[in-house]
Amino acid sequence: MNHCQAIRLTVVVHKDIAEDVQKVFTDLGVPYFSHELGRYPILKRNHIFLLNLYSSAQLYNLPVVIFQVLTDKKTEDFLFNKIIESADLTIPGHGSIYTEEISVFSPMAENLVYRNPIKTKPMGFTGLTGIFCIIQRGAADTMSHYILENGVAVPTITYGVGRGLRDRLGLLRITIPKEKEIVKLIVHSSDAEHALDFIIEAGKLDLPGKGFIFEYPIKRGLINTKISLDGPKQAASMEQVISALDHLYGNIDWRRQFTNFRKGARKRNYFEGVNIHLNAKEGFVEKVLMKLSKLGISGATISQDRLIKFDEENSLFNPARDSANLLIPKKMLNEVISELEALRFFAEETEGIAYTMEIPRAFSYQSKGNQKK
Amino acid sequence: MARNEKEESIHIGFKETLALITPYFRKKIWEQTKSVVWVVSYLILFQLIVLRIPIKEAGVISLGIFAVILGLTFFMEGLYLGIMPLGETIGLRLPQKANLLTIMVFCLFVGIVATLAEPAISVLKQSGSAVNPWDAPLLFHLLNEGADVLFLSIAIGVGFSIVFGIIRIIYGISLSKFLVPSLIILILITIYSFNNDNLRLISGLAWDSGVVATGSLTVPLIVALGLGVSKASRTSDTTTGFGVVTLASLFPILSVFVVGLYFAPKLPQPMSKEKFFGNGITVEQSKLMFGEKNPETLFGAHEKEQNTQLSIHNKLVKIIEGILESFSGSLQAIIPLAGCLILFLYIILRESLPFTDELYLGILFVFLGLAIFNFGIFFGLSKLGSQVGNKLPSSFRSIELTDSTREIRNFDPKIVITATDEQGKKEEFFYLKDKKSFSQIPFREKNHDSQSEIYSYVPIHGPLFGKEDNLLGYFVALLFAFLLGYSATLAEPALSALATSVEEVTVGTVKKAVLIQAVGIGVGLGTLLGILKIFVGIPLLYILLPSYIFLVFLTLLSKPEFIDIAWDSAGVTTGPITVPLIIVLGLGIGNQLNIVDGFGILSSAAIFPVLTVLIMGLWMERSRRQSLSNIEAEEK
Repeated sequence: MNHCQAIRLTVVVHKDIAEDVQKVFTDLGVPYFSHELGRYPILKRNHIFLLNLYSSAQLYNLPVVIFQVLTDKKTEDFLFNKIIESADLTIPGHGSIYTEEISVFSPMAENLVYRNPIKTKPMGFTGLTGIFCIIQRGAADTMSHYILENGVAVPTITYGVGRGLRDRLGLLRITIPKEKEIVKLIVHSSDAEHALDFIIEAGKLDLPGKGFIFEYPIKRGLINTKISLDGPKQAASMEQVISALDHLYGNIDWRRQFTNFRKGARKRNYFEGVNIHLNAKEGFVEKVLMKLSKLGISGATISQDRLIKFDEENSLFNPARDSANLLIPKKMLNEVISELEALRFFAEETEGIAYTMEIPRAFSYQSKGNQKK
Repeated sequence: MARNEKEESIHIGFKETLALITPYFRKKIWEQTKSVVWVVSYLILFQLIVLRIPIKEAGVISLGIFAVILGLTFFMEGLYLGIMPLGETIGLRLPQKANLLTIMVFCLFVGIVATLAEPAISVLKQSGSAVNPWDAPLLFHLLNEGADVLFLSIAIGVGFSIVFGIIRIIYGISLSKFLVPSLIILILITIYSFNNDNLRLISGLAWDSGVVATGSLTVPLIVALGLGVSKASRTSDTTTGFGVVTLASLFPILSVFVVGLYFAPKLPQPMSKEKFFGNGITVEQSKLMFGEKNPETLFGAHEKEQNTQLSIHNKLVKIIEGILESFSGSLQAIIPLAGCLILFLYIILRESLPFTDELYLGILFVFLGLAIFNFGIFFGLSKLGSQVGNKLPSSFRSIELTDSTREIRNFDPKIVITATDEQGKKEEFFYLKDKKSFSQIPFREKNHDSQSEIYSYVPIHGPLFGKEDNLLGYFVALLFAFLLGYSATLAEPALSALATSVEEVTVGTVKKAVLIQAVGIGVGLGTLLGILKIFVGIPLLYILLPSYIFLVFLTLLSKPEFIDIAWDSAGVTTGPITVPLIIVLGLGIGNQLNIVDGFGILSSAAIFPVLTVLIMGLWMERSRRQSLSNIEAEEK
């Protein structure tokens, strides 16, 4: 199986400026990128008294487009800067961008990666950690409200479909809702543990069936700071002040806020592993996952995105795609990859791609027998 | 994470099964109860408190309403489990595996099969019996003898619209490129028909049939098909896959007009009843309108059917017949549609769904749901609606409650007393002892049968607010229309399915509840205007023309994603719950005011949701822009 190391660059931009980002990709000749729709909630402050009573949720949801593109280490900074420039990501509210180091498994892994010899100075901040959280559909609004009110970060929410226990129930599975929401947010690494703790509390993830959370390392990023729809009351809005300070310091260390947060919180049993991100032609991921469950891997979340390749003539991939995220113990990685190969996941018919990255910390409700639900 | 040796399937005991099913079922039923409760409690309270008329057959009606809730529960669950995934999978694979011709033939076929199976369409036929052949020969022909031609033309219209809608998504053409020309053609035809007596009378029917054609089964299927195609399409970045429903509610209007234009020269012009039966029509014309039947036996001695008390046995027989009928109707709707889809999936596309058992269960649920739901609509909601609708004019006029006619036995004409008014005009009345009070009842000679000594007494009700034809009464009726339209829309299954898809596709930025509210307010406004049209006697054209011009203007201002959603919600609004209620309302008021056709309310009820959803879209757009640009604006 071909595999290579790469940088995955994720851009989350407001839908209205998504076209600008897409234009950058076209102009630079990026071979493949995927895009997915999502939303980011921000607080709205209703000043009309009665409307406040009417709408209990004080959130306003803005549509975003999430682009993912693969590049190599040398091109990373160039592409990173180009995108920031085109979409004005330094302005709060426009969106976030971050990169992760991953391994790509695909027969044509090398072709997926974008390369460009131009070198530029690195931008953005280091020392960030991403948090990935899967919860029941409908639970994200309450959780985002907590997160935003406490200024932890600005979450990005996408929809997914959960798999796992329910698929082994036969037809009775329809009684368990499969719709999930995926909440992604980026915090400072030194806050990560507390943020994780905070979200577990906010989403009651320590109860069975409530969800699943893990953190992943981020190489470099620039994050959205806009948390409220309010216009600035002062000469500069709070978000502008924050982002100006970020630039002044060159990092976001000063924003650490969880230094004294809930000392002596309950010790949680985190576990570690490898996250495999499977991406294939729509419909096939589900079939592969069903077969993988024989290896003891259950519990994955499927979401849908589109893979775009520009030159239409010889488009190798079908645009409608399914993506699945599943977490496996590190020692099983090779076994799973070879199993995927045996299942013809990477064959032309399925058009499968797998990305892997290491997960230092993950959490979900675990029953007494230390068995993942 | 931990590796289990055996993870094939979990054995579940009976108790656990029950523990899983009960909360699931309770939750789903509760969801539907919440959507239906508004319209039901509204109708009941309105009749009891405002109109102050007791509800007839309350037992059967409550059974029917329970059936509506249960039926909706099954139906919606079946849609989400079976029909919609099936439609989406076919949509996904269609552009990859089939050539353009196959796609077109398939879409045409599905459109025709789905529309002919649509239960809402038969509502049109029911309303046909209320039309007098001499008042509107063409309308009468299309709804009676030519009904099959009408239905087929509607179905072909829907078929073609699916073809165009799918092609539009595959090639990424914006909806307004189809919308604006077809609207212009439709409005031109409507203007042309306005000058022809016969055609003018069918324009209401034509616009309404466009709305009726897309019902609770067709819409979710079409929406799912469109979503599937748009996912697999390479060109569509911004179009969301909606918008097919819109075309499906515009093209049938055109096809009905075409049929109307074809038959118009062959039928007589509207004329008076005397002239109609006195050599007003030729033999061919009579054949076209009545077939082999003799019109004079049908209409010569036309008497209103008296409502007699049924025995309990007869009532039960009627209910059982109703159940059987709705089950067979549901079977007729499901079998061809699901069969054709599944065969297409397996044989032509050679694909399978990952969970086939779920699919079949879904189809079974849709079948059960549709059957129970139709029964419930017929025995519960429609009855309740027609009771209120027929009595609504009592808010501004005195009406006879024919359904509560009572017979007074051993009536002695001697008790009749004569009274006089200011002008010295005499009127006869008598006293009736009703329980413990005595009330004065005007005496009508024709209601008295001197042989059997029975006086049949028709209670008279209203006007409730002041004198005859008072403004407050009209106002109450209009307010009623608004709230009826609004609350009935909340329960509409197709809208619920569309809103779920919209929420799914926009990842929650357009929330289901918000969309349903916007559409509900739109339908309410539209119903209000439709009733106003009947009160004041405005021609349909005067409502349609300005509204559509305004809509086109708004459409040009909006973003494509909201255009598609907004226009689709227009086609979706009117389904099995709204259509009977609104038609009954229109016919009830139309009868009281002696207006030929009560049509046109539906089409006016379908315009305003577009308006409200577009305005909602513009409002959301404003907040979006605000979120992006307030800082930039500050800098400038």
